[in-house]
Amino acid sequence: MKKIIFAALAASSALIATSASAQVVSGDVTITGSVAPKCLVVTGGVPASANFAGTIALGELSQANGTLRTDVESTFDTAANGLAFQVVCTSGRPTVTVDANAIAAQNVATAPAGYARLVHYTANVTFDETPSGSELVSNDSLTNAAATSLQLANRLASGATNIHIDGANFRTPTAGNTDILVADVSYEGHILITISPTA
Amino acid sequence: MRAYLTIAALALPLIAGAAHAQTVTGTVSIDGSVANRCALSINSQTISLGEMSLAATGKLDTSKVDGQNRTLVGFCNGSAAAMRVEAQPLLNITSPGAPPSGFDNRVDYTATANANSVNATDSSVVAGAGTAATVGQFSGNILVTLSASSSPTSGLLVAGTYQGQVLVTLNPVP
Amino acid sequence: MKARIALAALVIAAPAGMASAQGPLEGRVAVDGSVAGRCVLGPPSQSAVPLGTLTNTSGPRTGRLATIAAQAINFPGSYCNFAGTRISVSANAMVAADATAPQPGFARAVNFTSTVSNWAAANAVVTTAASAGGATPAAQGPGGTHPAPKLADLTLTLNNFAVPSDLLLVSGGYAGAVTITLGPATP
Repeated sequence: MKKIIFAALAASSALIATSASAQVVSGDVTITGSVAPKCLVVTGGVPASANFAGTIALGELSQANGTLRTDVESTFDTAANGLAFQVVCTSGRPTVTVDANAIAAQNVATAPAGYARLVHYTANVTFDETPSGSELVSNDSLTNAAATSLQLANRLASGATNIHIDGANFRTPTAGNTDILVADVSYEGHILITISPTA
Repeated sequence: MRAYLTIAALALPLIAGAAHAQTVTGTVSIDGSVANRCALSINSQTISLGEMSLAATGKLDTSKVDGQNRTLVGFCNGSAAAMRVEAQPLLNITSPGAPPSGFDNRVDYTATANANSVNATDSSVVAGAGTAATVGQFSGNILVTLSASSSPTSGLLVAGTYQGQVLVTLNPVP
Repeated sequence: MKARIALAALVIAAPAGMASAQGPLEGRVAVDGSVAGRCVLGPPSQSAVPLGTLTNTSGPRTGRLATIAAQAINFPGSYCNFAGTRISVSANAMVAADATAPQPGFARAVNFTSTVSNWAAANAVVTTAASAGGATPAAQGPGGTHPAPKLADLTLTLNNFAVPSDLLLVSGGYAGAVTITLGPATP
């Protein structure tokens, strides 16, 4: 007598419940899957990567009398508006951090008395949330040495730019913005933003 | 009777074209520049010497010229900033022609500009500016002093009105 | 004073009153002075000219004016530091101290010529013309105008001594005077 063996291979955990019945048979199939908590960059500047990046070019920082320009904030905000960052997190209530680093002259190590090689500022990063509303995370390059951290109240909004940046309180170290900025072709600072899923 | 069901599990696709990671980090770079610049908030002064000849001899009274000084005010923001001085002689504008034997109608002197503890000098005897000195980053006074006054033959000074000037040039990027 | 304000895309206007530039920038200290017009006569080589005895004491001209050599007085280092100056000379004839009118045949005045040379092209010259009685002893004469500042040694020459009508001279002391003036031709 010949025997025929059927081997059934299940690619996922599939449960088959059977019941012996002459009249009607029915089966329930339960499908499960999972989504790991992740944050994803949808639009992340150029080039697209695991991280996002952008540049705000302020141009000439000094005015005619050598001190910091009084309109540097409006230049910063106008350029920051052009950055279109969209991050999506699969988990609700991601944790965000913002760390602002001073804008510093790259080729001048020390500034003489009456002069400055640093421009401090406050970075204000607004995260848009769903279904509505947004939360602001601020970090000052001088008074906040460490990053500012916040767990958002809701998910990040989807479908459009959901991270907005503006700057405030641009200043040189001496009160009153009286320092003369040392000449340097390259002043550079950074705002570091991290978005982590909270499981 | 046996029934067999085969179920293929499909992996749900994530949003097309996106990179994904546990934590996303964004870096916004801010860049700017500060151009080399110099400025003068007080850029003009006048030294009035009055009567320049000695009553006893009719010749130049050097004490009327030597030591006279005025202060300009300005700044430069770059370490390479240079300063140079041009002293132009006092010339008799009332009687400008060549003076007779025994007379001079020109007074020469040395001008020194001092800023940031750096001196730049020039003598009016030779036309043109003196050697530039590196003054670097400074903000404040530029002291201009006259010294070593003389007349070409140490002769009698021709009567009249005499005029000259000291030009101080700040060059942010020489 | 020259100033340039460099224009860049984001530079704001320079505040009023400050000159600022990214290129060379010039500040200026003007210097002015003056020299007043002045004339100085150098110290005279002699301020008094003693002629001694004026008359011959023997021979055919006894009692009449002797031959008197020309007298020269120098004023070294005289100068004017401006143009358009001249020397003027005024002289008073030598007249006897005794004012009594002389007897006929006698005179109480000695005339002479004063010349100041080495200033302008035309010397200052004056010859006194006192009468025998000593009237009109004063005389004046301007020299030419010099068109430039000048430094020179001036010489005053006294000569041509003469008595009106060559009369006999009354006895006693005689005195005359010469004044030199150096100054602008048009005061």
